[in-house]
Amino acid sequence: MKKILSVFTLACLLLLSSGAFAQSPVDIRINEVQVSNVTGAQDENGDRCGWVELFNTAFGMVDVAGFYLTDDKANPTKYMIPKGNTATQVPLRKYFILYADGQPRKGVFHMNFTLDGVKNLYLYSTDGETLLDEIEIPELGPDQSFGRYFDGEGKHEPVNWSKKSARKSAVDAKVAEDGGFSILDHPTPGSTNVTSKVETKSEKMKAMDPWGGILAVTAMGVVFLCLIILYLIFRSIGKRAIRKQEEEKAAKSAPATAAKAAAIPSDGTINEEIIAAIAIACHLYQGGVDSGIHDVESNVLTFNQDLLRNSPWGARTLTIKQDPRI
Amino acid sequence: MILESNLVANLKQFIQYTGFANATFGHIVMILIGLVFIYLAIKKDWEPLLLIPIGFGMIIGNIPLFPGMQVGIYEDGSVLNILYQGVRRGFYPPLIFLGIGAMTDFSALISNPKLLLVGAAAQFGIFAAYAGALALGFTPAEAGAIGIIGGADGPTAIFLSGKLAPDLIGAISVSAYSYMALVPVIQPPVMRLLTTKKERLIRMAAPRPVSQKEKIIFPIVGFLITAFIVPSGIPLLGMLFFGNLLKESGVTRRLAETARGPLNDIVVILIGITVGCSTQADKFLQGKSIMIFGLGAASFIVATFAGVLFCKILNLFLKEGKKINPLIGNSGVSAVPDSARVSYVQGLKYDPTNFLLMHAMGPNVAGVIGSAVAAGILLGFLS
Repeated sequence: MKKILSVFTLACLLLLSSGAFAQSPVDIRINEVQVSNVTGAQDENGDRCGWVELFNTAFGMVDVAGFYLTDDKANPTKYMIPKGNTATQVPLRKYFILYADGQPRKGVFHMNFTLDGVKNLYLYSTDGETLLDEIEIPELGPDQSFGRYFDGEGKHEPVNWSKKSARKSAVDAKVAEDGGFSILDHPTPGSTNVTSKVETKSEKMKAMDPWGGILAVTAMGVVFLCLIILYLIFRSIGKRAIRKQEEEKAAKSAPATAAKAAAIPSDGTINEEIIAAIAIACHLYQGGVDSGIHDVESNVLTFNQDLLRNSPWGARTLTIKQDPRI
Repeated sequence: MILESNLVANLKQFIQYTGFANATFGHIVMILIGLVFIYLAIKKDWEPLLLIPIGFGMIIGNIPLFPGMQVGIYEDGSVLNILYQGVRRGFYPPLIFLGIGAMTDFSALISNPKLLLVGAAAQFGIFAAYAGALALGFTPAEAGAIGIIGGADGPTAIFLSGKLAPDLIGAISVSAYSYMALVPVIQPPVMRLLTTKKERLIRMAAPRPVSQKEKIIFPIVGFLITAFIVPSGIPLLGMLFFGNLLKESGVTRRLAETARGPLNDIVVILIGITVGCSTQADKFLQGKSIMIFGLGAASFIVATFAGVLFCKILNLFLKEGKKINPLIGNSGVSAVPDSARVSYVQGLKYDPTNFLLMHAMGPNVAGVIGSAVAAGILLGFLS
């Protein structure tokens, strides 16, 4: 019964863990939209129209096939992103463009509605019920777009996704005051919304710590912290181990003393048979460290039988995987 | 006549493709350096497992080429370029760490955990070199990559320079491995300078036997603690502790043997040869490389200094009989087991019955953990 319970628990844990780490639709965001495209990007036919850019915030591929976009919350399945096309597999930190020209027959990724006059745009998961993201589109001039300052970051109206990752919630919280969105004068379909120069960590560090003193002190502090914690843990484990060893030694010493007393005659001389046995044992193992039978690494002299080396046919029964101990 | 002129034209074209036509002074210098590496490895036995692949790689990488033939290491799609991705994208170093984990016995450290602190102190060399590199005009990212030479850990140096300063990867890795080979030359004078004769004669208590349970707990707890504090070090720390768990679990003997044996050897060959190849004259023979070599030497000296000095400071707080021989302080750098061997040899010089090897292995393996943690910190701050 115990074994069945253990296997069941293990299976449940495996199932749960696989679900927890799978890439999921909640990683997809509406990143940028353009309503009036006069001189901007063209579709595959060379025509200009509004567009919607999705962004994969995950660090793994997410397939957006079967996701729904709508401008009407009452009709969440208004437009479905077509299935059966490998282009819907959005790689990590990449973009996916849909053309909002209201002409779905014009190409695979042409939506069946335009963004003209649209106030809100909603993104639903493949079930057509789970709201993944929504944005409120302000009045936009020709060739202007509306999107996030930083790709994938910013305020999210739907909160049900936030169960997924506390980190993302924290990122969003930083820009919650203005929502992290802006009207962009330079639309960037299919590429990052960040068009201004971004200061790298290295540049920031140079400005903050030109001589390296702050980093040195911080980093050495962290190295010491890690190793001090390990020291404290293993000092405590070591103390327990020593205590246990002493207890075991004490428990063993009582019968051993009795046996020793029985083996050694009352006059103090050792039996010749015992001497012969010790001599034979030493002879058998006189190969020393070079013979490979002693484990010298842990400072404990051991006499291990080297089964693998001495067994016939490479001892398959010894090298194949044994049944797990449950 | 036409045949003759065609033959001459073909011959002329062929000559243009040969190494003789494209050779420069830099190529010859680098080939000579490669030959010196091979000589040192064979004749002087200085890190032969690394210096022979690196030395021969230098020769391969510096055969003058007519560009565009897709054979050079920096030409996209060439065989060498594909093998070089393991260095450039940093997947060889974690595999080396897997092997190191599978061959390292942490029992000396577990039996005397305060030696962990010596491993931490010796990482000061990294940050001293970082500050020095900044002063010499390197960017913080480049300085971080150069600083890690002070950790005396080749794979970590390659891993970090691949992320922070790919242009300097050749100079940094050659510098790191060269100084690792020179540990027996660089460290003893510093050790002698900082210690008194009385200190060199300190006898340390024999390490206690460590149970298998403790050996199994160590990689698990070690990884959890270090990775939670420095998640950016996961590739190195994860593989190091995973390799050690394979060794100590007692039920994955075959995996441990593969990790520390064939797999490790394959990666060492690939990393050595590609690092050597990456030192092409036009990229390697620069003023920056000389500065990197200078900073590397300084960082080793500072790391040794910090390790030995920390032992002396620690002794101020330890009771008689529990004191640490400061000659093991140099082992805080993670050149395993070279720096521990240096402690051992130096210890024997002053007392032929004082065997410091097992004691020195403690800070030595702590240094491996410390340098991986330091690399994670630098990566977190600078990438």
